[in-house]
Amino acid sequence: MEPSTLILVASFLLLLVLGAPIVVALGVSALLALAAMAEAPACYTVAQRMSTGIASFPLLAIPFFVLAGAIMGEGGMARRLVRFASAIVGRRPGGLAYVSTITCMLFGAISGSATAAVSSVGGMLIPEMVRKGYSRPYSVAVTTTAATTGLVIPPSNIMIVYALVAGGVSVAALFVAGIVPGVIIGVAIMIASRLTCPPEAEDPSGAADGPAGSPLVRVAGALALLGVCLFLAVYSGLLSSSVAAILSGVGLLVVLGLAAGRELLQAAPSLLLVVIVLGGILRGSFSPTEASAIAVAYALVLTIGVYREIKPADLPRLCVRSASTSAVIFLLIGASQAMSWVMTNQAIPQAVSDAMLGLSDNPAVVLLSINLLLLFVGTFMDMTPAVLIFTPIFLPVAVELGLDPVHFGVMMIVNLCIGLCTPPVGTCLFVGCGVGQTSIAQVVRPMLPFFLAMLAALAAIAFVPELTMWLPHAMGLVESPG
Amino acid sequence: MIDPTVPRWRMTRAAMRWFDAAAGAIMAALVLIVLWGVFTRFVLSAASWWTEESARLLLIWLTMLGGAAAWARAEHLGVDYFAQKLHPDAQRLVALTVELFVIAFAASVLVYGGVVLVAETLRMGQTTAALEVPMGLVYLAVPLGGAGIVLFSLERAIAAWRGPLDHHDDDTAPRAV
Repeated sequence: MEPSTLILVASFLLLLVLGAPIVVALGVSALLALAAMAEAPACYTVAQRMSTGIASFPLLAIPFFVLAGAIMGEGGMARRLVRFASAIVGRRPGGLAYVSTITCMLFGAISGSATAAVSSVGGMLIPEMVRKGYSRPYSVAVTTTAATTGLVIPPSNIMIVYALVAGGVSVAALFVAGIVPGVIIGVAIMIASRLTCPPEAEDPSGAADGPAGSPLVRVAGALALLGVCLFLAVYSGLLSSSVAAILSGVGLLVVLGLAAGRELLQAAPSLLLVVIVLGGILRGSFSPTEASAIAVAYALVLTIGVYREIKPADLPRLCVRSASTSAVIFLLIGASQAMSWVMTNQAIPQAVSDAMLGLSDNPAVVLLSINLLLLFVGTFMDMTPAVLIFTPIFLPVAVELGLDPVHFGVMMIVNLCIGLCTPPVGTCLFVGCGVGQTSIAQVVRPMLPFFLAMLAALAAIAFVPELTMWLPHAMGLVESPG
Repeated sequence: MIDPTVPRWRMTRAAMRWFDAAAGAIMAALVLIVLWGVFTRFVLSAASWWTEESARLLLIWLTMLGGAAAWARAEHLGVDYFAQKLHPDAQRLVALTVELFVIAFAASVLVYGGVVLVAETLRMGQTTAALEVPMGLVYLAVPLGGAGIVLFSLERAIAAWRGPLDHHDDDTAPRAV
C-alpha cells in the first residue's frame, strides 16, 4: 500500500473513532493524503473540490424536498394520513400496528425523511397504541422500523445523493425502482407485527373509534384482482402499458374511495403531492429539481390556503431549519467529493474491487459480503455519509458482478435502513425512543422480529433483481438487460 | 455542565443568528428562482437564462452559511459511540482534540484555501457563464462559513478545556441503559 493511501485510511478511521464530525474526518484525511502525494496546493484543491462538488442543479432537489416535507409535516398531514390508514385497516386485532406502518409509508414518501416520520406519526400513534394495550417498546419498534420505508418509497433525497455519487444514474429510474421494494419492506413489517402482536392488544370488544369491520382484506383482494387483470391485459397485448397505468390509478382510487371515501378525500391533497412530483418527473415534464420546487409551492398553497394549519409567520423558521438540515447534507457531499477524488487518484476503488472479487468466484458470496459489511457500517454510521463513502468503493464491484447501478443503489439504501434502527447508533431508533419515552435497551427485544422482517426483505431485494428492476424496465426508464 | 449544542458567547450567538438568517433567506430565494425558471419555461415558453446558474451557485452559499449555523448547534453527523464509552475526563480530552482538528481543518482548507480560491479566480478574471459574476465572489462563501466554523469550534474547545460537557441534554437521544 502506498504511504499516502495508508495516511488516508488511518487518519479517516482515527478521526471517525474519536467522534469528529464526518465532514472533518473526510476533509482532513483527503488533505493529508494530498499533502503526502506532494500534489501542489492541497488546501486550495480540497476547498475547490468541496465547493464545485456542491454546485450542482440536480442536488438542489434535496433542500426543496426537505422544505416541502417540513411544511407538510407541520401542516397537519400526519393526522389526516392516520385517519385515512385507520379507515382502510378498520377495527381488527393488531390493527393499529398496521395503521402505524401504512401511515409511516405514506408520510415517509411525502416528507422523504424517516426521522420526521417517526416523530410525527409516532408522536400521534404511540400513545394511542399504548392506550389500547400495546406495550410501549413494541409500539416504538413498529413505528421506528416502518418509518424507514419512506427512504425507499419515492421521492427520496437519499436516492438523489446516490445518483450523484454513482454518476450517470437516472433519478427517475431510482425513484420508480424504489416503489416495489418499499412496499415489500412495509408488508414484511406488517407480517411481523401480525405474528408478534401482543394478545392483550386491541380487545375487539373494547370501544374503538374506527369504523366497525375491516375493509383491509377487501381492499387488498380488490387491488390484487385489479393488478392481475391489468397484467394479463398488457401481457396479452389488449392494452398498452400507458393505458394500463392510467386504469390502475383510477382503479386504486375507486377501491380506496369505496373503502374510505371521506378519509381519502381529506388525505388526497397530501397524497397528490407525490403524484405531482412523480408524474411530472416520469412524463419528463420537469427535472427532479423543478418538481421539488413545485412540491414546495404546492405544500405552501395546501397548508396555508386549504388546511390553514401553517401561518405565513411560520415560514422563516421553516426555511431556516430546512437550510440547516440541507447544509449538513451538502457539506458532507462536498467533503466526500474531495475524498473520492483523492481515492480515485490513488485507484483505491479499483484495489477494493479486485480484492472483493478475489474473495470468491461465486457472485452470491461477494454480494453477501458487501451486504454484511454495509449492515455493519450501518449500525454506527448514518445513511447519508455511508452512501457517500461506500458507493464509489462498492459500485464498481457490483457492476463487475453484473448488477445494475439502479438495483445496487436500492439494495444499499434498504440495507442501510436497517442500520437506522439498530443500536449503538441509529437515528430513527433514537428519535423513536425519544417520542415513545422508552429506553433503547427495552426496545431491542420487541425490535428483533422487525429486524428479521427487514433482513428477509433485504435478502429478497438483493438476490431477486426483478423486484427492483421490473417497474423501471416496464416504464422504459432503464435499458433492458441485453 | 455545559451543553455543547448551544452557543454561549454573545458573539457566537449573534453569529449563529446571522448565519441562520442568511441561509434561510437564500433558501427562500432558491425556491423563488427555480419556480421562476419553471414559470418562464411553461407559461412564457421562453426559459429564463439566469435561473439555473444562479440557483446552482447560491447552493454554495446555502451550504457554507447554513453549515456554519448548523455547526453552532453541533448538528453535524459523527460517530460519538466510542468516545461516549470513555471516562468523563478522557471524553473531555477527546472532545478538545476533535475541536482542534475541526479548527485546523476549517482554518486551513475553508478559510486559507478559500481565500486562495477567491484570490486566484479574481486574479484570473474568471466569471460565471450566464450572469458574468466574478467566480471569486461566488467562492467568498467558503472562507466566510469557514470563519464561522472556526469561531464556533473555538468556543467549544475552550468549554471542553474548562469543564465537563453535557452531551445528553436533548431528549431525542436517550442514553442506552
